[in-house]
Amino acid sequence: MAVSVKFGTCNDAHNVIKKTATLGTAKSAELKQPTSVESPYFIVDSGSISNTDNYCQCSDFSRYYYIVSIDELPGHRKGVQCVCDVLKSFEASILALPVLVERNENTDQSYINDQSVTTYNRMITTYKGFSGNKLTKAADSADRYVILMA
Amino acid sequence: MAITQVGTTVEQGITYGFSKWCNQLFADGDWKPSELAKYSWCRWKDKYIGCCSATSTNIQSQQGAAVTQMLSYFNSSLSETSNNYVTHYNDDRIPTNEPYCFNILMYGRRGDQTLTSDCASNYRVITSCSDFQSLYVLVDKYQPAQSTISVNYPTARTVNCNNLQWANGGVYNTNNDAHAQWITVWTVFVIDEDNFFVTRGMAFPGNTPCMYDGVMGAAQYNLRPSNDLSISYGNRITESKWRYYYGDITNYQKTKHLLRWYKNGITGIEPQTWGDSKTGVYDVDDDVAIIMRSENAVYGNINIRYTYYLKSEEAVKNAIAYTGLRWKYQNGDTTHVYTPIIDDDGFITGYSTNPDAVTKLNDITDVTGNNISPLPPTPTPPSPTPGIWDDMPGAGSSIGALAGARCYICSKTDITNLKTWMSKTEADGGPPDGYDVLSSLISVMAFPIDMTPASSGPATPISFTGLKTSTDNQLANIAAALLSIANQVGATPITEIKTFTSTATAFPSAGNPFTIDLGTCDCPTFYSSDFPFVDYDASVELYIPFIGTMSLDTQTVMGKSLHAYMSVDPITGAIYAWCECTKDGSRVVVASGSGAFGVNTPITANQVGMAMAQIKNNAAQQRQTAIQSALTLGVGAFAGMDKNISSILSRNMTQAIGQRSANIAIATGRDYMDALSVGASQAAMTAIPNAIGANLNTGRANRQIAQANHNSITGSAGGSTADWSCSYTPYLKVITPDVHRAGEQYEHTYGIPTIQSGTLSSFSGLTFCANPDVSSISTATDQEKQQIFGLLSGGVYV
Repeated sequence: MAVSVKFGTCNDAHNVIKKTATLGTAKSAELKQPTSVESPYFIVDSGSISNTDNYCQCSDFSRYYYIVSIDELPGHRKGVQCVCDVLKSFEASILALPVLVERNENTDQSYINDQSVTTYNRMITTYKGFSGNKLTKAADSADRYVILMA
Repeated sequence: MAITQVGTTVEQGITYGFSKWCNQLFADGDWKPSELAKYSWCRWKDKYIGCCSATSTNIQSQQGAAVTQMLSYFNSSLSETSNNYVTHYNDDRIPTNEPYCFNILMYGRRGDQTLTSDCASNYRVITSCSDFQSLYVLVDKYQPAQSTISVNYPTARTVNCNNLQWANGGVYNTNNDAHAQWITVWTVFVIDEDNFFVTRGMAFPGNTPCMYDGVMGAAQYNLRPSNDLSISYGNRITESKWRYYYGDITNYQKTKHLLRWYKNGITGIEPQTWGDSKTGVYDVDDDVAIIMRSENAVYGNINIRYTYYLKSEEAVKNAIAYTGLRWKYQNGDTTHVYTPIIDDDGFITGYSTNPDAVTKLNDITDVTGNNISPLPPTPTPPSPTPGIWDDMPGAGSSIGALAGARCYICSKTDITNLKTWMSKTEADGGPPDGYDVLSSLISVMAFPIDMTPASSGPATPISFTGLKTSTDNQLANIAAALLSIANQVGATPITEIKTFTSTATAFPSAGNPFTIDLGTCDCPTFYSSDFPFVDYDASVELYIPFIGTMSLDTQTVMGKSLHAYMSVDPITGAIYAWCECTKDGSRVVVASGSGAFGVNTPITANQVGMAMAQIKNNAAQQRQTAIQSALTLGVGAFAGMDKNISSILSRNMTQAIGQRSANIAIATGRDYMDALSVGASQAAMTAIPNAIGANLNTGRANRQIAQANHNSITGSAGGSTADWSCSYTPYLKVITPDVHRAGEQYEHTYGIPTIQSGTLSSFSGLTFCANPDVSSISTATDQEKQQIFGLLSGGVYV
């Protein structure tokens, strides 16, 4: 069965949802039998793929794939082993998921205790004085006695 | 007006106080039995005077039949049971009340037997006696009368008060006839406040025979039914009880008061009238005779005189005993000392030769102040004049149980000078003799700071205004002395002790609390965007002098501006401090505490403990009221307040939240002062200066720390040394953990804890999802969904 595949590159990490991929034109490719949608094996003419390509898209499968390996085949052909990039393939659906986020890089909720914070075995002590009046120790000549009389 | 002591004289080692001249007392309106009774030591009801007294009827202008008619009252066969003597008299002249009697000492010449307007200028009332127990009457031995009738009677001398007789004249006697000065016993017979008689109790001038000379005299009245009467001419007995001098007495004149004087209803009235120049003796009973003598035969002549004549030794002893003094009676070579028996009510009931006889005489240490008269009522002290402390929320009160209480602020030098003044005699400018200054001093409170605003900041100190000016109040003497001392030592003359005005806020006058504004302090925060916020691991402590350290709630105060205050109670020495911050637009009390600011040294020690307890009890009630009022006003600041505040200060929350009430009503008002019971216990003269030093070494008060929304503690962190060795500077102490800062990579690679919900697209950057629900990704295979689940849980970059 022949499918249409675009080969190219993608430098984003695997756990990036909104990947940016640079893909070429669609090439015709044969599928090795048996093969799966999640991990297909494409057979293409040697000129359809570069040995530096690491990413591809198969519109027939509606998926994006990481190129796992590229095999040299007889008859001036190459075999490409791929594995599905689920984040890119289902990007819209994933981004639309209602989720409960436990940790986030850019959250404004700073008051949750983060048990992962590493602290030293010492405390920082800061003293701050008040801006108002200081009590002055009284001298003997000061009026600091109160006599209660009947 | 009142009879008061105006001077003293020392005779035979005994100091006597005396009043103004009796005529002056009369002119001043002080010549009243209630006043005289204040200087008596006993009272008595004697059989010899147990009757009604009456004024005399002046029959001088009546002659003939009118006289006869008047005298017919006596001529009729009157008897005690069949006739009512009262109806035979002018009721307005004859009181029917039985008089009460008491003895006083008079200081003056000895020649008068009755106190009249003629002689009142020669006598003064003895108001005090330094050794009353040493006074006694000296009585000569009992001797038979020199007469043909075996009537035995003892002779007696003038009361010899411990040999007080001295030379003629003297400064107190302007009479040039050189009467000797005596201190003698006088008797006051009282009908009511306006009808009373003052007469010699034991005056026997010269060598007249012993007789209980009961004369009646009051200023401006000269009723003299009595006189010394010699019966040395002898007498003879007749069939009746009358014994006549010259022949038979055929007519007589009698004054009603005489008859009424001796026993109410004398039986056996002589039915005949006196004749001229007659002298006779009427034997009333075995103890008493009435001697009558007319000096001339003119009708209406008021010189008819009558005398009680004590016929028996027993009668004489009783009569002497009723002076309320001890007396010595010599019979031959034997001297007997007789002690009057005075019961608990002050009545003389007899005498005893037993030196150990129970008698109230032994309880009398001074003549002054023994007000034993059953009527009129005891003079009451004047109502205290409302003082400047009245209606003031602060210290001192001139009403209530603590009338006249005052607080005075002073320096140690002032106190030392006060002690010096107290040790002086009155002659040297010290307190009045006999006045115990310490009895007016309840306590001395020492404070660690100057109670003036200059050194303590622009506080609102207490106004100790007003020296009590009442001359009747001994406090005025002390206050005046302080003022005088202050002036003497070169201090700026002051008309009042320390009146302050506040430059910050106008406060009511006297009695307001002493509030010190400690200012503000910004509590730092360690949160920033560079590293995780760790303030929740920090601790914040507040130190306020004399209160101690208080823990603050981190979340409340971190990053906030804190404002601290102190209020001082100068009466009890307690201090109350609190700290506020603004949260959500409202001022919230985040900490409060109380402690002992002043150290109190009791002078009248047996009262201070009770006094302070009363103050605290009342203050607790005041605080409760204030808190309740605050809560009803919706003051959220007190929500969750630690109800166990042991501060004795209350807070006046009359202002809405967001505004600090400027009037911190320290519990020094008169309500607490009224509870004080002012007593006096003698303390050593050295107590004050020593106490000043000693009180500075008192130990620490208890501390109690309670953790709550805001915290309160009690106790004082200082006061254990003479200098109150503690920090005088309030401060904020923030303790935070030292965090290992990983830099920005921490957030980017590890994220920050958050609990937020939303679509994943609303987040950015590294995001860890908790148990994401991926079931809605319908186009993904099951394996792919598991991968998605794992990636979202393990962190993705959005």
